[in-house]
Amino acid sequence: MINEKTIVQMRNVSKRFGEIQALDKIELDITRGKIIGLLGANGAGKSTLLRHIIGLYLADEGECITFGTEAGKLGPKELGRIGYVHQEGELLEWITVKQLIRYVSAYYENWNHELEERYIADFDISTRDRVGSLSPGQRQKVAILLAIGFEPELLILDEPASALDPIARSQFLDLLLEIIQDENHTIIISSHILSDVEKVMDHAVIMRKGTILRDCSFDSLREEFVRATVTSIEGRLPAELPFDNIIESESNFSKAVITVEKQTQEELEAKAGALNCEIEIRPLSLEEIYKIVVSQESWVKR
Amino acid sequence: MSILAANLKHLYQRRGAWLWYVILFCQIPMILLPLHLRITRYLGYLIISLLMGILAGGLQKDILTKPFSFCLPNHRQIPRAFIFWIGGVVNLFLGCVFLGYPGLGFPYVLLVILAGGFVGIIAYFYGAYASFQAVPTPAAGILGLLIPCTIFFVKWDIVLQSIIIHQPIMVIVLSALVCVWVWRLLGRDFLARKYCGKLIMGMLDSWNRTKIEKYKQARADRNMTESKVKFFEKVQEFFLGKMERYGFLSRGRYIWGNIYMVFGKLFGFWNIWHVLGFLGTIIFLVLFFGFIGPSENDKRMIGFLFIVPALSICSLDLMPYRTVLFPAGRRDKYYSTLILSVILTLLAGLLVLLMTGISVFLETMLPEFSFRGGPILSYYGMDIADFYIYLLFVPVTLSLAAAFPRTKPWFIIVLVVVFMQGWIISKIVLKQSLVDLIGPVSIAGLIVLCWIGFLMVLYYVCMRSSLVGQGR
Repeated sequence: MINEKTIVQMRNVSKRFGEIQALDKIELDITRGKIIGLLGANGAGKSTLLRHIIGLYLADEGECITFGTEAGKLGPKELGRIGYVHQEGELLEWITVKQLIRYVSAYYENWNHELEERYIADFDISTRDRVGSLSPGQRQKVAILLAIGFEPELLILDEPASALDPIARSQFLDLLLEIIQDENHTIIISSHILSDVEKVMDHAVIMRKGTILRDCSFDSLREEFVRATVTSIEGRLPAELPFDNIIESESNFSKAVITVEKQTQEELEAKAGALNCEIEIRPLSLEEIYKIVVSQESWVKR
Repeated sequence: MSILAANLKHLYQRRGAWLWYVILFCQIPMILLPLHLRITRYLGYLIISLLMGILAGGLQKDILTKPFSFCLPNHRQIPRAFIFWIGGVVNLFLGCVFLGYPGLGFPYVLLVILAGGFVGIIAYFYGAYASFQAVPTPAAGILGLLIPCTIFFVKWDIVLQSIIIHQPIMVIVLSALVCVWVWRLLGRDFLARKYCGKLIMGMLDSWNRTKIEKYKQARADRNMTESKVKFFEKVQEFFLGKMERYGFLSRGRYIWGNIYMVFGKLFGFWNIWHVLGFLGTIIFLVLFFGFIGPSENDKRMIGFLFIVPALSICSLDLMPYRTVLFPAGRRDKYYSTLILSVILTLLAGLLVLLMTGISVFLETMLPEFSFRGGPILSYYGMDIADFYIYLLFVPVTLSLAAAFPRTKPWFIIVLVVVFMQGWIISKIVLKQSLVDLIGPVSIAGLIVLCWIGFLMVLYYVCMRSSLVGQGR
């Protein structure tokens, strides 16, 4: 049953391209008001998943419901609420940027011309240039403008910032945070630049080989994994450290760096105290968490 | 493996070359027929030399444009080795055609074979040169083929053949000097510098959609002027005006939008020279096919022109820019594509009628004539009664364009072959048209079936299949 906050519901969705299982029994709910980071290596199935949401691909098995409608049957009413930045940035090459914006805006009743003008100024877009002659970065800026110009309720960004320079990327992230101020808006962002996604996302979906490894809030993911530096106050550290759920460990005579999961700060400090050790705990970056998650084969079975 | 061997592997690794081999295979009668019919015109093999030169040059140009090849150790001399190696082997083999020439004793015949091979190498170099220089457009292809055709038509090949037979040593010496010059030319670094990283359409790139698109964009950039931008704006305002007559969620808006995307794109790349070239091509085709045929008395190959406009529809993307997300649902895409197909059918049908009109006019105007005592040439116009062929082919090509947007060029080739076989069998062998063979009612039924088939294919593509491919 789809509730009011759920805008996308995928149930048991599978998709195969020849020998490749692109999606394998995907179960996913996307709720309003969040920025969802969709993470995974090349070929993990991120783009395929996003294309199912908007009905460009149809599932071999299972169903995908977007805005209460089966994705394959989405009509102008529902699609007019979705903005999509395509990975390959395919646009109409033969017209100028100004003409392209004019053309795309003709499809949307709620096109925000004020936002359009501000975006063009902020991102330094030359509207007189022909789309086909734009650099990859400029193309991506135009694609983003076309996707946000009508202030969609669901904004799907498939590798939107890969060709942007650092300043434009920073501006782009600010823009996402501005959009999400309206709690009715939802953003799904798929990107390999994890340091960027980390700054804005509040929910993580990690994929590998067509399956979802993790689907949880980013806060809970960050709490789940920590890295601790354990330093013996006196003497050497024992060969076997008495901490639970150690994922990685590196130690020398009196110092060890361990990565643990599902351990609270209190539990770690108590065990360090019992060893007569000092402990320094720090959260992991998204990139570090991502590496741990995808390297753990056991997660696949969860 | 040596670098040369790796390059030679391209001869079978490039799938586009296979089509070239089919064309080459079709030229074999040029060698065998004179031997069989005991006609002493042996230089038909020069066509094969020319085509092989185009292939060898085209393959090397393609490799030279790849930046990695610029830095490959010892690669600079490979184009020369590649071109000479293939040219030498192929033309020495082709020169053996003179073994069948009557009255040439041994060992004199060896000199003639060598001279014939060297002349073949010159034709081969011409092909390779053309391949390096020309952009592989249909116009360039037609022009390139016109030169050898003219040579054979005005019988200069007989003069050349006579020189080969009677002055083989002079031919060998002169050709060898040309070879030395080409050897030195190809050995210089300038080729690598000239082509490295350049966006150049190779002869085997006709199906590389990404490269074609990039090339078109680069060309469009060069042609873009202020007045053209203003013209586009007017065109856009016209179509947007049509779109805006319908509500935001109305299907009419998407239908007009789809029409704009296809026809606006044509406006984007065409200029006055394209229009003139288009008209010139039509007149050339009407003239050319009006004169040719498989036999002296039955020059009805002009019927081929009934399928040319249908095939040209196939080259258009019926659902352009599928990944640009306008708020158009699958059903909207279905109806807008359907209406676009109908418009294209009508426009292409008008083109067929125009060509028919021109050919009928020419038929009444052009007298029979003979050139230098050759066969009498008479012109045949298109028969409007064969218009059903167009109506049969259009739904087939539209179905292919909708279902196989990437691989449709291969299907075009298959369609041309099917048409040619069907046409020759019915008109030439059976001396009857398809209408006479199966009756007009069956033809009408077949046309209706083809259109129903197209509707089903389009419905399946729009409503049941993935609207984008991987990487598209």
